[in-house]
Amino acid sequence: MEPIDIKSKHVLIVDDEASLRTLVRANLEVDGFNVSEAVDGIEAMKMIKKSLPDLILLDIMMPGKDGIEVLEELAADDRLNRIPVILLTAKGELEDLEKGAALGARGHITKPFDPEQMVRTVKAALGIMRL
Amino acid sequence: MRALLDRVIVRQLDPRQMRMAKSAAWIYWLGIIVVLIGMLLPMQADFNDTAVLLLTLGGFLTTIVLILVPWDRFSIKLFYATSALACSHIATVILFSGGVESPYGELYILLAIWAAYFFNFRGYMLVASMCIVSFVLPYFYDSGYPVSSVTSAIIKVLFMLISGGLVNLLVRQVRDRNQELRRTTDRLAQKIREVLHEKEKTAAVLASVADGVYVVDTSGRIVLWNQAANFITGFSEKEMIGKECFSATPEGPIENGSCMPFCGTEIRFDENFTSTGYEVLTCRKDQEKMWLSISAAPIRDSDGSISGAVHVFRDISEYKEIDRVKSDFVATVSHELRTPLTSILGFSKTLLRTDASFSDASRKSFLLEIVREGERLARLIEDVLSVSRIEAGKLRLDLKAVDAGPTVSQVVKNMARLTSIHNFVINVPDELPNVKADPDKLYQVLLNLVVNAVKYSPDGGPITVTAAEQDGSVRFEVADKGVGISPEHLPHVFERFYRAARGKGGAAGTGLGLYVSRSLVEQMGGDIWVESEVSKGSRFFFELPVAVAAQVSDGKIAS
Repeated sequence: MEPIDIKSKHVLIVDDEASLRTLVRANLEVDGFNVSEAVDGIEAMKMIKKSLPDLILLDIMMPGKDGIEVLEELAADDRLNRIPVILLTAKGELEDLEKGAALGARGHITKPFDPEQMVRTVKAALGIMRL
Repeated sequence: MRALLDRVIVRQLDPRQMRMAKSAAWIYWLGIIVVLIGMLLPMQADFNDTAVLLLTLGGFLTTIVLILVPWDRFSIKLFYATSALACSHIATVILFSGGVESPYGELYILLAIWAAYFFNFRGYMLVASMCIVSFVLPYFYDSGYPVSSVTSAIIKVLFMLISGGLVNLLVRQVRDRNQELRRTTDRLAQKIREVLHEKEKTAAVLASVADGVYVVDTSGRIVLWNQAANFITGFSEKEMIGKECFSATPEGPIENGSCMPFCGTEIRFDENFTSTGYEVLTCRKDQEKMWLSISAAPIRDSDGSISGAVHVFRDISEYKEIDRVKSDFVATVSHELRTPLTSILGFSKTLLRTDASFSDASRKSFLLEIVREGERLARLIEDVLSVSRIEAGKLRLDLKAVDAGPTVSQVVKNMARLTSIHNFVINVPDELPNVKADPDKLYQVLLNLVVNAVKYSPDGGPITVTAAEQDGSVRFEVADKGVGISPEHLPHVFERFYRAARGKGGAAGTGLGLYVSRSLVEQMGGDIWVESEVSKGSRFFFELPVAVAAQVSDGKIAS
């Protein structure tokens, strides 16, 4: 674990539930990540294009533009398709997971999740720590 | 049907046969006339010969007609049969007796034949007896009749008996046949009446059933279409009879191409065809989509071969919709349950993290999140339970005189703990009269409305809770300056499972809160409504009756 590395890492959490965003932010920030939030796909796309985060935690079931649509947009953009994406899903959304994997998602976290495990997954996806 | 029967029984001769019959009859009657002339004039051999020739010819021709004309034209046949017999009889008498001795005898014979025709055997016997008497009497009494010999008289009588008997047999045969035909006709008519009655009965049954019924023949064409089918699909019997059922919708291909034909899949009319049932998404005449549940069964003839298929169908769109709403509801509720659960578990585990330490302020905020989400879970469960009680009609209310002021304060206090971006304004006068309500339910309704106000004003702002007396009721109002409700959603917000699109900030819902609130308010004898404008906020109102003073004194309201 290299703290210097983490401080420069920018993680975007996209979820329509405020309390979940707070949960993710609190757990990542305590480890030194730089975290920003988006409430839905539309806001997420704006923020991604503007600030190019190092990793995106993306909820699938969202109003407006859902996670799969965001993934599709990212996959279609050469500049954005390199950003690792971890999907946040509920159990039983297998179909969406398959779609997500096909669109290049790096992994997924199933709700409800263990925050410590979530942080480990994020770090692994960024190549900071091995699982 | 009757007219058809009449035609079957009394068929007309065709014109050619009619001409033949008429000619033969004229020749015969000509012979009779000649005989009569010979009777009146002095007897002459020439006349006799002419008479015999004509009568014989007439008889011969009528016999030919008899052979040619089919049996069932029996009345005409009978007429010529009698004529022919009379004819040959006269001829025979003349030949055997060597002349026309007594024209009266021949008239008796004619009379006998006609009597046999009209009065059957008894009539014949009567006339024959008269004949015998008229022939035999002259032997005992010396009359003026020219009688040739005993032999001639015996031959005459014998021929008369034989010919009369033959005629009688013929008549009987014809009568029997006639009677049999009549019986057959009666039976046929009865059968037709029964069939018609049965058909009327079947038609009445088909018309009265609520299910659509149609029948297709083995070529797949519709041959029966009942009233309910008309009602369900919008297509009339006239439009559907004769239509190919399997390959196209009744009005040809429907523009969007998504309307399946009513018959669904094609039926193979082979030995493997047994009763089947299926569901099909098709369209009404007005192009409105509908789900049909169709069951098809083969129609078998008495010999076991399949002559078609009867289909019974009903519109199950409503059930499909309920089904969809239910599974939607289950999905929503499980999602809604999981969301607070994720937060509760997540923050609890965050607090338990061994590899990180949080400040006291952070820890407190996590605990607050756990409380908030826990209460959300509790509310959701309360709503789901309320719905099941409301639906089952088992909602129990404990109506009392309630001072609404503290209830409002409690709701606001509880909500204010959970949000930092909203400021609450309570506008309840001290002298507010008590309302007749179930205190727990009043709390639930107010909480639902305040939670909605918070949920749908994600950018914060004031939330005002007002209560005021108005014409014997207390009117409550919960107002926010949030996203508001668009006019298309506004009329439906109190419907069960109805959810407007989720607002900014992920304000999702189960579609239960307002439905439960409305049900509770209405069961407490009140009324609930909403005013809203997009981007300007919503104002939810409800009114409950003021508790009557006398009832307040003992603290309870008799219901």
